[in-house]
Amino acid sequence: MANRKKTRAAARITTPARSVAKSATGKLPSAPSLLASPPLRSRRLLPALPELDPFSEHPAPPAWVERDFPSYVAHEHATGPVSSVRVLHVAGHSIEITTTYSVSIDGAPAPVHMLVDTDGQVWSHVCPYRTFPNATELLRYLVEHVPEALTGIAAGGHVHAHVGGHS
Amino acid sequence: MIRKNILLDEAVGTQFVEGVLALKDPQRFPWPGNTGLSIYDFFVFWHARSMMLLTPPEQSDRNAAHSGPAFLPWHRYLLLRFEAYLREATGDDAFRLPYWDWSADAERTDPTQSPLWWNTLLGRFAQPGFEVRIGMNASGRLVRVSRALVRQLGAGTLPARADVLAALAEPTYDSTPFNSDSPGFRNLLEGWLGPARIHNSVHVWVGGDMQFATSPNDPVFYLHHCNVDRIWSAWQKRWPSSPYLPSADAPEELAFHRPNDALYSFFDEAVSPADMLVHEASYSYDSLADLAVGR
Repeated sequence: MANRKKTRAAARITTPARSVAKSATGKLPSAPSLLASPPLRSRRLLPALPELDPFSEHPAPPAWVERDFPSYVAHEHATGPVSSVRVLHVAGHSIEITTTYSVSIDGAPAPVHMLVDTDGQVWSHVCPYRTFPNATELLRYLVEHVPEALTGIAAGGHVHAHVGGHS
Repeated sequence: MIRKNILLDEAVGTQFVEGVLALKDPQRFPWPGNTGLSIYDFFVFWHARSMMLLTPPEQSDRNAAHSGPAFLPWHRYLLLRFEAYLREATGDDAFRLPYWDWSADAERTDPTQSPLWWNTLLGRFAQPGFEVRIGMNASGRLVRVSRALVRQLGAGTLPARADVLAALAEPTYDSTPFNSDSPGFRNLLEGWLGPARIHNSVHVWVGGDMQFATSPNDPVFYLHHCNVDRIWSAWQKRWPSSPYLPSADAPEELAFHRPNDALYSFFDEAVSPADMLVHEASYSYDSLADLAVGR
């Protein structure tokens, strides 16, 4: 397991993202006061924390993100296997490689979050500061080092991870 | 309003530890609507959620706060907000976050023996009573946990001073395609380019909870990112004519990362990268001399 070697880039961008602007929130930025740093002993001068359930299957995004970036939020909340698309341009040809991992744990489908970078290295949001040479290494790392890796996914105990499904 | 080296100022270290313990206490600093969770836990949630939002979703690299230009301003914003709550917790309006100069510890024979990890400082959080409450399972879902903090110090190496100075010599902030492939200072510092993998390697070196999307579970996250911010501050002083990039008229696919875009936030406010470019009104660093600024 090496620190992530190079990149996760170059997946295809097919649809322009919706524009965002600070004004989209309907409020002016409070950054000047944020950086001017007035005395903050009074709690009422601190912004209120959002009241939301962090452990729901789809935690609520910031309201302005949900309103202005619905396709982003829809992707974030998508369930099932995650596909990675890599595009190469070789000798005048455009080559597109789509990789989808199908993982089962103890015989049950497991929606493990795995993506592939342009070098073919595999990575996960769960441990985002490094990449792995292949899905087997990533899964082994998740199970052995991430305490909650299988919470809500498998019954626990020794895990047999079956990696495959490149398409 | 000075951010200090935590290993050179015992008082600020003590304040940091006590402030974090206070913010972790759901009785003293509750996260409204979430029994048993605190304001400290909210910041873990915020960081993890930022990583899950790919920007845009048609690519699999850049997210709302990492692997893109907003990496530095977004973390500056997070630190400012956390720092404000720490002032509330410590009751000290002058309190500013300390930083961990990991390049200094890299010069020790055994960096794992740094005083930073003694029980009087960050070691305190590896003791019983400091509870990790938010984890992430393999599918990326946040789960409620109750366990001790995990650290596994010493995987790989901490970035050497020479590695940081090499990054500071890069005059361009960022460049196309504005992701983990991009040449430029941001990517050298974030650690997808260059031999030292600067920021990323510190997460890996600390190990345990620091390696996960929920890395703010370990309070050393804030000391680490304060040092990352210090290095960015030094770069800004060294290259005053180098702009933040991309420009404001960059394509829509760079939303969340353009200078006037709102940074990913749950607070009822809109703060942009441009708002984060000048920080001296709020804080400055005790020294940038080791970063070749002011020599």
